[in-house]
Amino acid sequence: MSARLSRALSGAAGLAVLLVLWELAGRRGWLGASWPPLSAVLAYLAAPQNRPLLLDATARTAQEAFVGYFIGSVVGSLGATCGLLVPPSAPGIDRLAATVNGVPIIAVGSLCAVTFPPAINPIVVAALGTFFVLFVAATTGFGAVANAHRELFTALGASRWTTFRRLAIPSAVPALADGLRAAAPVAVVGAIIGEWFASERGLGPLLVNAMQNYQTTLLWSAALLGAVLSAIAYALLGLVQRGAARRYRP
Amino acid sequence: MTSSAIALQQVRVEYGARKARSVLALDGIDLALESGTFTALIGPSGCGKSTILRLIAGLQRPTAGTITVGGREPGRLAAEHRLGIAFQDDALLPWLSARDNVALAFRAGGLPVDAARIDRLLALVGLEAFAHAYPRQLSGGMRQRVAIARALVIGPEVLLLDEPFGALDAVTRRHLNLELQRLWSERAITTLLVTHSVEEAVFLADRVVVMSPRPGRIQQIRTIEFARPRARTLLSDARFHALVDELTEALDAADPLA
Repeated sequence: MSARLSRALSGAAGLAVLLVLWELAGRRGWLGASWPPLSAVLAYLAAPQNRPLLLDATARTAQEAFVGYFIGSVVGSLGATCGLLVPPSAPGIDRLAATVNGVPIIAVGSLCAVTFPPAINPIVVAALGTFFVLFVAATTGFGAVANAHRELFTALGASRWTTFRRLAIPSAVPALADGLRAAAPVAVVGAIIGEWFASERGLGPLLVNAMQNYQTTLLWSAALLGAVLSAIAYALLGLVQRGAARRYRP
Repeated sequence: MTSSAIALQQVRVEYGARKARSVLALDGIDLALESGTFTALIGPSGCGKSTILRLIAGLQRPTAGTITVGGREPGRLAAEHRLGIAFQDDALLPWLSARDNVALAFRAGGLPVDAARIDRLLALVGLEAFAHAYPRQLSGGMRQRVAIARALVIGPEVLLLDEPFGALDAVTRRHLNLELQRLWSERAITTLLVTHSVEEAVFLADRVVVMSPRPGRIQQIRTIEFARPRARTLLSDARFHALVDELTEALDAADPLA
């Protein structure tokens, strides 16, 4: 318990140092005029007149990220399942997934922007990013079945389907939970990049506009909101991941 | 009831048979286990005793020779849910309670779950109070009891035990051997026990097979005449000790490198 406490304390201390440095860098102008102090960004975020714009953008991005995350998770897990249940398809699916992941997300974003309508583009980019993380997590998870368990199922005369349902899926839960957690920030970044090229609403366009108009405080505010969104999703899924590990790991 | 006699004829297992440096694990194994008898397989590590068990379970195929269970190929036994098996690693699923781990023997095979029988088996291994505990909450000895209950719950015709108590302390081990002896005496199942412990083998088995290593061969087969059911008092019997000493010497002679 005390080890956990000291880890939490040192984490908090690290964050505090970072925030103080940010504030100082902004006030003293260490990194030039485009680096606002933290207090200015927070004041901007807190100002009532800015709230509707920022809240709308954040909610929009969160919504797109969530839908993309959901679709990507389902498709990624199903892809890995298909590879497991139909072994001849595994190499093909594997290569397809690697190719999808090999294209830089910024290129994916622009390619999707010319292919899909602006409204769904952020969802597609978020889903593609999530897809690969979950595909790898599920493949790893299915591969994590203990040899002794596999042989037990063989000796009990379990069918392929029963082995999948009662052994492969539960064995994969910890890896899947790790993947779900790791994919959350990916989905947020994917949604923002998807918005970047075509959307009119969300954190992406806010970033583009702020950058082009030298509104550095707005730029930083939007960036901070994106980071907070990722951090919240990551922390919440961390709870899921810990619960899964406790129950499903030996 | 179909016969569950097991026969191995001229069985040979070679790893990397097609490569220049192959390893001969088993050679010239002839072994017949009659229906309803308890056979123990002892020998130094690396003599291939677990391999014999795996061949009978259908988890592995021989390079040459034949293995039959009830006159048919060994994989059939597992496919027809007539096999009970327990390994040194208890192989309990960490996400299932003790009770659900025992029930898995039915569920994995797609058989109807016999709740009353699960309760009876849990009671027999003394775990009725721990039915809802998860493996991580149980001691090593308790986990092995669950594994034994799981192996027996479907009423198998063949029981294969691969050092199920190998990782346990001497006291727990002796205790579980007494329980296993009692369970087995209720209904004679064709059983093969692989073990390092000569004492365990002599106490439990009708016949003890001594193996020698490199390559694994059968060195001698010894019939154990002690009447059943065997009680704790047998463990302090002079004849019991004489037999254990004799077989221990045979084991020493079997492994020139030991």
